[in-house]
Amino acid sequence: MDHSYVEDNNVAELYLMGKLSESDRAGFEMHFIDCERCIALLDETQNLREGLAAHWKAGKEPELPVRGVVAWLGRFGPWQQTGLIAAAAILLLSLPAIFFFSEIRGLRRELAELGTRKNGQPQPPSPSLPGNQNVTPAPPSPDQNPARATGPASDLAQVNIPIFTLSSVRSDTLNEVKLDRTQKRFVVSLDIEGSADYIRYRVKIAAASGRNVWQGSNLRRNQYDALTIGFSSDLLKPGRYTLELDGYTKAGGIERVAIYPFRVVTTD
Amino acid sequence: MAGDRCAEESLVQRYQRGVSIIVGQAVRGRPIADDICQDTFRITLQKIRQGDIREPDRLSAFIWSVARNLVTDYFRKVNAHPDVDLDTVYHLSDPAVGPEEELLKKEQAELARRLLAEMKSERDREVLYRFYIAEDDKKRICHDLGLTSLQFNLVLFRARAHYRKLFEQRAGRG
Repeated sequence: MDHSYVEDNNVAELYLMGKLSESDRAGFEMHFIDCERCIALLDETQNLREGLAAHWKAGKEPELPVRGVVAWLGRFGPWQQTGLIAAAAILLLSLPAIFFFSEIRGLRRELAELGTRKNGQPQPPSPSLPGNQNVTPAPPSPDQNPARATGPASDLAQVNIPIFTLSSVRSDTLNEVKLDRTQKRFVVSLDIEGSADYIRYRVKIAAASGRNVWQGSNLRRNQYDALTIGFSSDLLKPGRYTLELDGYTKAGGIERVAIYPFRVVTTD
Repeated sequence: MAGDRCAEESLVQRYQRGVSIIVGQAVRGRPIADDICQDTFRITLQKIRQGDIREPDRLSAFIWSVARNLVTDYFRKVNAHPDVDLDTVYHLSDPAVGPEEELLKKEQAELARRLLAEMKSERDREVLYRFYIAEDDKKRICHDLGLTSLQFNLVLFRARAHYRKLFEQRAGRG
């Protein structure tokens, strides 16, 4: 994390306000723990915030000019305001209906497709395949490497799927996930031994920018006290990520179990 | 580095403020913060003495992870025993806000009053109030006040620098 990014994006202020995402917070903390410049910035910001809070708490809070929607509504008379609010409310209420209608249509379409497949009727040719190419998976020829096979057959089987076991931040190693782009999938295995108190788990993968890349909830550990998840190799671009593992407690709460920072590198 | 007392002291000195901010931010001013900070360094130094940390460039990440895990453990205990006030258990004699803290608050308020009085622009005062106190979104403030991100940051930068100057002047007099 470089200083111009910290200053341009008010990272120190947002950190003190508790407004950074989990991964941004972790990234910033790992940076400033050994950075005098950022610590000075945090101290200055905190001093100013405390001073302003004490001042405004002691006296009267400033009267701010009314802006935005409230100011815009102020231009209209009471009847017009009521009409506008009612129109907005109707619009807001109709949005979920539109959403559910389109969802139901999509589900019906999927159901119809599944029914067609089940009845053994021929499937329409895939748009990515030329002409009437057969889409039924065929066994690979002996000289063909199944892991590099192209076409639908490779969707059903993949040899030597890479498996990466991630260590949590309790150890002092940064995990590295080396992805071979010729492999369509890879598996991440999380050792969750010692956190057996949880009935289910939630996993969230976020990029260094804080963007949520993948999330899965209600996951159960396997008999070896591990959680293994398969991903498409296209999911992760090279860079730094954080995998956050949370556990659902028997009492119905959710707790942080561990954080697994890792770096993705690709090999062609 | 193992066994070198001087090196251990300098390590604590180097990371103390950072760890204290991280823990303080996580436990939000609870008195347990000092205990967690001490435990962080106790565990770290123990690991170093045992030779468990071989790569010095990973030391920062290691200290961060120890502090974070201790915070997680603390909240796990709090959640497991919601009827027990762990802060009271750990700090039976922890005092409430004392007269010194009251005085500090008054001084901070006075410095902020001076800072705001010396600011020429009403708009800049509004930026400070809305961002730091009302915790409004930066984009919204910029949109409402017709500011670019750079202008917004400049207001904060100047305010911080001015407040620091006032703070140093007061410390110089004190």
